Amino acid sequence: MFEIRAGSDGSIRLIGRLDASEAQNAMTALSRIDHSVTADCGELDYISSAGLGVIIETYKRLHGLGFSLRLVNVPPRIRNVFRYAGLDQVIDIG
Amino acid sequence: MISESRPAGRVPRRKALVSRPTAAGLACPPDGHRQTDDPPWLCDDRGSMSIRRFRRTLSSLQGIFEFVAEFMKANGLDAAQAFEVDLVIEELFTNQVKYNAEASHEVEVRLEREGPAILVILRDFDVEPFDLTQAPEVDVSRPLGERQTGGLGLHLVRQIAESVRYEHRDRCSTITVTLRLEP
Repeated sequence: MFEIRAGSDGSIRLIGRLDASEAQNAMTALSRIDHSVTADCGELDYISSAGLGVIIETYKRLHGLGFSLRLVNVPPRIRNVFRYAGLDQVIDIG
Repeated sequence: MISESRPAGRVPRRKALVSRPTAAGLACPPDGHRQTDDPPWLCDDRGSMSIRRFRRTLSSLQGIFEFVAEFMKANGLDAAQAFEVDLVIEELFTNQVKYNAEASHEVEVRLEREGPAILVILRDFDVEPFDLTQAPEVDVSRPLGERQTGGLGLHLVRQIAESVRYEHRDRCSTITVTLRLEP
């Protein structure tokens, strides 16, 4: 189960498990964002390469529009996955 | 055998990616089909080995994750360490679903506790060979726009696993991944 909740300040919260079965719905939801955004990952329990693909595509789209994507409160195991994929050198992970 | 240096972090120090026969007792049934008297899952008396078969669809992932959680609990293992088990199985399972889309057989997932490690064994029946241990490595140091499409899931498996072994026999692919448990 994966969920995206929008905050009143324009930030979003990624909640649950971002696996291959949730990737398409997540991609659809994130494609509606057209501004710089901070994504709170404190309640993100799991991510796979399919989930990374969603984050990568969102980052590339926003970056192409001149906007930014920042991830905050990233749990250690999920941070490891970003690191294994070399994404910690590309995406702003606070 | 290909030996690789391991990046810094919590992952194990030794790693091997090899293509060779797996442990005894894992040979495919002659016809590659599930036997009619097979239970949907098996668990030995010590709870150290579990087997279940899953339909080759992404909607099976939830059931796979529950299967892993049950195995971790039955073996008194830290539930947090299911993260790496889930990740390895998802990446391998989704590859099998994606690249053997025409196959109709269920994929067998087997978990074994072996001392300080977990063996994750996936068997795919009636399929052409694809030796993932020979797949090219993804260069994650390249800028996003210059990276090749695909291969990231296998890259993650290689990063997490202590070893990855592949065997194809009688049209059955067997992937055996060894995951070192945290102390």
